[in-house]
Amino acid sequence: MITLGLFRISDFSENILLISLQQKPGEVELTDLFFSLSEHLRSTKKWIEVVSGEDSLIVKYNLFKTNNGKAKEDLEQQVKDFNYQEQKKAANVLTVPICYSEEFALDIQDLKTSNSLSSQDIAELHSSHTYKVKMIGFTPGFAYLGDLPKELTVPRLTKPRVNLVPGSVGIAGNRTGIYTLGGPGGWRIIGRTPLKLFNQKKKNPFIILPRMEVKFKPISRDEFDSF
Amino acid sequence: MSIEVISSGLQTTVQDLGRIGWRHMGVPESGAADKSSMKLANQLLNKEINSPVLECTLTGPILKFLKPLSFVITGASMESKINNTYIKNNTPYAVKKNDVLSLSNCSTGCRSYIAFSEEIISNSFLDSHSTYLPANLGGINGLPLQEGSIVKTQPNKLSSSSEGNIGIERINSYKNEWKIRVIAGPEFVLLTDESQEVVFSSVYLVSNDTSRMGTKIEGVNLEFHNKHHMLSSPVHTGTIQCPENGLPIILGCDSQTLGGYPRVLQIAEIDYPSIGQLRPNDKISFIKTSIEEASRQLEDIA
Repeated sequence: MITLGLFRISDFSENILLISLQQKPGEVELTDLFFSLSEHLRSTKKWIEVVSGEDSLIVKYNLFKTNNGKAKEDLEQQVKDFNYQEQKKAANVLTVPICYSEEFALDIQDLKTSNSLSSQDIAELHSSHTYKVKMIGFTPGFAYLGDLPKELTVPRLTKPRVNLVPGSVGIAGNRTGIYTLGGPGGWRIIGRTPLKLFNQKKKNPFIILPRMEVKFKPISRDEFDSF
Repeated sequence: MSIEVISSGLQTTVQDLGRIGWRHMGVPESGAADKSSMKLANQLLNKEINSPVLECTLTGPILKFLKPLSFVITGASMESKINNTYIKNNTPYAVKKNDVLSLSNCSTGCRSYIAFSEEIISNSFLDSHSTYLPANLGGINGLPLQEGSIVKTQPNKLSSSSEGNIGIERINSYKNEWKIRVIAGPEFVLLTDESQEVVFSSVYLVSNDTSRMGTKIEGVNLEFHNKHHMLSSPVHTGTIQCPENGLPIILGCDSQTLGGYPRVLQIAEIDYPSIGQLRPNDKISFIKTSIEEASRQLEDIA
């Protein structure tokens, strides 16, 4: 195990290394730190994959071109060379239209009961905050957005839904997110967006990117239909 | 007009070596679930190793050739026939117009691969033709083969020299029992001492809940020291996660890129192909290996 002050580099497998935090960095925003570190590592073009979470990241190396010891040395050097500066410029804010109509808000009844809120409270709370992109991943183009206002914090469903409609907007813990694909999902659904956040036919298939901020704009059922 | 799909099989998709380098945007690697068999199929036809092939699952397709082609089948053995004659896996065959190739069921392993002398025409996304069904990426319209449809092919860019039976025969030794080499995952230490031993001494059964995304397995429930909460963290093909119910899930090549359950074990890459051949009720034993051993074994097969 190599320790580099803040970070700890360890083996995840025979060809994947894990960078985790040795200690909590004081004032630094973790999301931004790991997005930056992962971009820095990706720019070296030495790694097959660089995937970051909120407080760790993994890099995959090619065992036919390097070995475990050499990969660790390279990674250690690259982490040393990483000159972190918190992004000062204003983030791009993406406005996502959302319809909170009860027919889309599949879990709103549970939430009204558990969090003692009206449908209108939920819509207002959810759409009055601007969220940071905390992580990207899970499925293509999915973004973990946060933090949710405390009043909306809610556990995941105990049994995930089997088949969600793409565009479903969910909340879980202190995160909200937009399901880009159909399929299973365990977050509680409070609305739906007509906006396609992953579109393989576009030159840039991914709409939400690291460091963006996302704001939800309530729309009516009619506006949803004519979007 | 090249190949007519008389019957689609359970889930037959176009696959190559996968979409590499996009996990940070949530795009899984995909590609053949058993890349070793997939590569062998292309090698046996002297094709480029990354050429798209058909991946067949549990029950294979019935295909009618609309022009003369060569092909080879690797992976699980599905009692394949050309017209009424049984044929072997890992052996190239040449067929005439109107010949029918039929694959049936397999009793060991889960997936077969069919490579053709011509290139399958399919969609490409982020430099890969692999079909990723959840987002309909790659393949033929992002879908499994459809009954009554046509698989189009075009002459291979490389000259394919395989004609007829070139006499290579390798026997797949799939059994219904697997020994899978693993390395302790980042959250292995959260398991109780007893569970840290039990996971290696007990035999797990593959459940019916198995797909290219993940395979749930059944056996002794694993237990953790205490309730813990972790942030969703990066996972990879071969990561074995363990949710609160204590029953591990093996992540496959189409799996999610981030996961919120403890990553208790990581399968060594040399055994990734086995993940693609697991079938319901198969038995699995996990064998502890080291980083050094796992690297050496992987280098040896290069």
